[in-house]
Amino acid sequence: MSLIRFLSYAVILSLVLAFVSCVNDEWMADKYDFTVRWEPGYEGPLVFGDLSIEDMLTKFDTTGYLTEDSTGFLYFVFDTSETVYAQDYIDIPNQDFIQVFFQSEVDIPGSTLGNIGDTIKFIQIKSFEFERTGDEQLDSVYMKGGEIVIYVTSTIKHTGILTIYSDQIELNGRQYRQTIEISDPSGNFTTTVTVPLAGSSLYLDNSNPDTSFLEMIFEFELINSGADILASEIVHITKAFQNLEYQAVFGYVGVYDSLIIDKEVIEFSALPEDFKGRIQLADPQLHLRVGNSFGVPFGIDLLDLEARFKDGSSTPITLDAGVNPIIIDAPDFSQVGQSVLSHTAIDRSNSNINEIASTDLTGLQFSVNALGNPTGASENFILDTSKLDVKIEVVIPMHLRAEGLEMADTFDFEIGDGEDFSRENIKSFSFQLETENGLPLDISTQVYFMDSSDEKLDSLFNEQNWNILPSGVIDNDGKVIMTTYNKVLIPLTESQIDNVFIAEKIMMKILVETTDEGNRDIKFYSSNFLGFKLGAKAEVSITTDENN
Amino acid sequence: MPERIRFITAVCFLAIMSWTGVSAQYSNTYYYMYMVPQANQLNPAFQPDCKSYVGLPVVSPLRFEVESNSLRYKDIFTWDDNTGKFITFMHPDGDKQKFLNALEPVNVVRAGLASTLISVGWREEEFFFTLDFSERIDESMSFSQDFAEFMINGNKNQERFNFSDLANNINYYHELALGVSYNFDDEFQLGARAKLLLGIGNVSVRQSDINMKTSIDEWHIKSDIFVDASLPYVDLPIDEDGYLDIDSLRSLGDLDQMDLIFGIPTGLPDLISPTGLSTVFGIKNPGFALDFGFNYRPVEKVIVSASVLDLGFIRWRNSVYNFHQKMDYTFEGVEFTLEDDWDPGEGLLDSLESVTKIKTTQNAYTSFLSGRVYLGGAYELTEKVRFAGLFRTRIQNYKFYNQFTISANYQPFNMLSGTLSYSIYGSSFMNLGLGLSVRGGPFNFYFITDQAPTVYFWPQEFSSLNFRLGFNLVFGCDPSGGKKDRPLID
Repeated sequence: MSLIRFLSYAVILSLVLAFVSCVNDEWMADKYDFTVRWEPGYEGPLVFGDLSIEDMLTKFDTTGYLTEDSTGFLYFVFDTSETVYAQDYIDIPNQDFIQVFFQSEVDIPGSTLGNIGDTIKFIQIKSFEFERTGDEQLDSVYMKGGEIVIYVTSTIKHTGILTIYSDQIELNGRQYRQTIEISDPSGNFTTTVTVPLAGSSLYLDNSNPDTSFLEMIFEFELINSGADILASEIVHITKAFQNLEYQAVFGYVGVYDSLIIDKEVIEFSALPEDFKGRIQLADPQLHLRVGNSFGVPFGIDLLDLEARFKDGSSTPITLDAGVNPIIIDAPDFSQVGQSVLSHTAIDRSNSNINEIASTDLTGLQFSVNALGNPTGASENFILDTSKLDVKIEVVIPMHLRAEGLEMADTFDFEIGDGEDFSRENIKSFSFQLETENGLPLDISTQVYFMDSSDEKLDSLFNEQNWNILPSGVIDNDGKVIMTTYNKVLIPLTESQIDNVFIAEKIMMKILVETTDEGNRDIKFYSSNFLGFKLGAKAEVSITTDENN
Repeated sequence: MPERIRFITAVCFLAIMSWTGVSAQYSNTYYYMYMVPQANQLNPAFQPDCKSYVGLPVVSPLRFEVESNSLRYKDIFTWDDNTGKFITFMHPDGDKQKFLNALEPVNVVRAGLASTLISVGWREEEFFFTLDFSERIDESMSFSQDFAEFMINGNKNQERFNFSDLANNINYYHELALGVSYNFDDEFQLGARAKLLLGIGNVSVRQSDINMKTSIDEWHIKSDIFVDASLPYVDLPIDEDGYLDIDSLRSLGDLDQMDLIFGIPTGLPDLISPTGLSTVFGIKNPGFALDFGFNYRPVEKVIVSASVLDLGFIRWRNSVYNFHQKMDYTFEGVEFTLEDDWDPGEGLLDSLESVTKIKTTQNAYTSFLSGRVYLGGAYELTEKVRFAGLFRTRIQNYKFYNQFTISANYQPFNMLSGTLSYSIYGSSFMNLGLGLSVRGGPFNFYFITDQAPTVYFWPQEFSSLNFRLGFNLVFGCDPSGGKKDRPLID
């Protein structure tokens, strides 16, 4: 290798080594500060809602249910009910008909009975008294269950044929007729015959006003065996109607008189303990709704009416004279099987109920007495499916005025000054509340930031400028006819942000009044709603020191 | 943080975030470095001056580059007299707006890594054959200026944001290349290279239209995004309506469901299901590409050349997914209800899930390589000194990305060659490159970078990082035995 070539190598390699090894000072790590401060600002929506008045009222009180009429006007209903069934009204007791059919007072020689094999017929017609449970006088009874049990004993030493029938009993569409053969002439004959009564009809004789009769005819055809008939010998028949179940009864069913609801109390949801203010209901009502499928008119008496209050006191509710008894109509004979609905309202027009409707009302007590055939005997019917459904409704129409309603609730709240997030991380914060109020209510809200001893540190709004959602515009009838729109941007001051970070509790306070400061009655409709949209704008500052 | 790690982090961050050109920077510097056998990779017509060579596996060459199309070092770091240090734009005293102003409407960060496992070449008469087997991974991530604005400043400065072109494309494949060059009387060389491509994995964002308008009242987001992907070993859950089942995906990918030993998962999430070796070899995702070019010496001392590279495609058929997400959504906040179990977080997730449903199909698709065209001219001043100019354009997604490089090559003797280059990348004019190739006996080493001198002399202009290095065993390079390169001076 020549010297020149060697030198060339040396120079170039030296240059390369120098270039590679000499790092510019600018690249030395200790020349860099990698502290990062991120300070973005974001604004955007957070929460929105369209709260219907139905949602809010249902949330407010879950013991009742909300309903509306055809115009959308809202009612709160609290109800209870009781039912009188057919079996409660009338029952058909067992009937035992005992007939000693044949017994001679003296011995009868067999020779006097004619030739052996001759027949001799004996007939008896008997009207049995049909046992009742009250003063009912039933014309007819249609049976769906039960049976006739016939027990026959014969001690005469002859055979014969016993036939029992009645024009007042219809079985399977025919006259009831039962034939029993006495086949044993030994004098020890006994037999029991059971006849199902399902599908039969009994037609009772009410010609005597104090009782009911059922006529039966007994025919005994004796076949002469040649033996004597002793005075001690008898043919005995016991006829019992047992386990009777009716499908329908017609006629006068008697009087039914029962206290079917005894001092029951309908309770309303309790308002919060710290609830303040006054609500005056314009037209509270108590409704009696009765569905009657008995063919019997009823008289309902509402008794023991009292309003119960938060402090434990009560006030009687008096009904105008003539309100009790409330006559409940019955289906007529063209409406058998149908239920006739009756509705009676107890309101300011026939009672003093409106006087007791205030914020402190917690419940309503009442008793209900039902009286069947309140006007005396008449033609009735009862089916086995007949019932009297008595429903008592306390109806609170959303027609009211309210003033000074103040609700407050306190929550634990802690943003805190943590390692990851502290007061220094918030440069600014503001929020925007956009509302569309379709309620007949002025709503003001306030949020207090408090320390651990409930001392108020700060508030979100100042006292002169609560966040007010003005009521919707209402007409003369108290109905909202136009919503009210409001939009407010609330920037938090530096001190407010400071206090948010040291607060340990927050108290939300809501003040509600009906339109015009609670000086007039308003009405709530299902179309009422409160729409809101909450947005926020914040500038944050987050610093990370990557040098440490 | 130890200083070294911090320094490396800073450099990597810088490298990722900076790119002075609007194109990917496959180093242009070594296009005219004839002593480097793998210069043939930029022009298949080029014939090395040795009879044969064998590259050392993995590093013959090893190529790495990261680049961005918008930011320079000075956009990210500035000198702060108060601290006596360089600070980033995110520093409390940094200038975020300057950083944002430096961004292009669409900013692309691209990274590439290629390693050649097999590289051999040999001469047969006037022919020169090459055989290369390489692993190639390319990734490009793009984001809009509005995206950076939103991430840094939120929406305090503007209401409308255009997030379109937000994308992350990844391409990983094997490349088996067989090249041949023919020399016509030392005045004209013509070459071509056929490349069999075997795809491993791919994510191709076909369309990414995302726009957002924000205010304190509502955020309106409109998007239309198409993404094709070949995800080896990944079995994504798709519901019966053809949508990606996000809930199942979340549970399938949950490491908590796997057995842990000392907190370390002992298996793979259910989402991953390794199946067979065909995926490893990329047989199910075949592709083909072609390179061709020429060198021509029209007059003494003057060489003109041109090449076209990477005209090709890969047909992706293995574990393919075609995602389409279209959304026109107005967020007005979480809807409040009076239900006792109202949960704003859950409400937000529910509403987001309902509008961000991703329609998913599994149809094969084709991705195309980024083709490149080189046009060069060189003047051989002396036997040892050559000046050259090179224009290069890259074609991607129907867009052209251009570079222009001039270089001076000095080869004092057959064993050493050095090159200095100067490049213009888009609006970046401070790009000095360096190449060095040393040969001692059968050993050849080279190192090439387009940026090192810039980093050294004008660090403020530093904007990208690339290098290419290689070790070869070369044979028959002696002028008396080998095919000598063009005589620079007779």
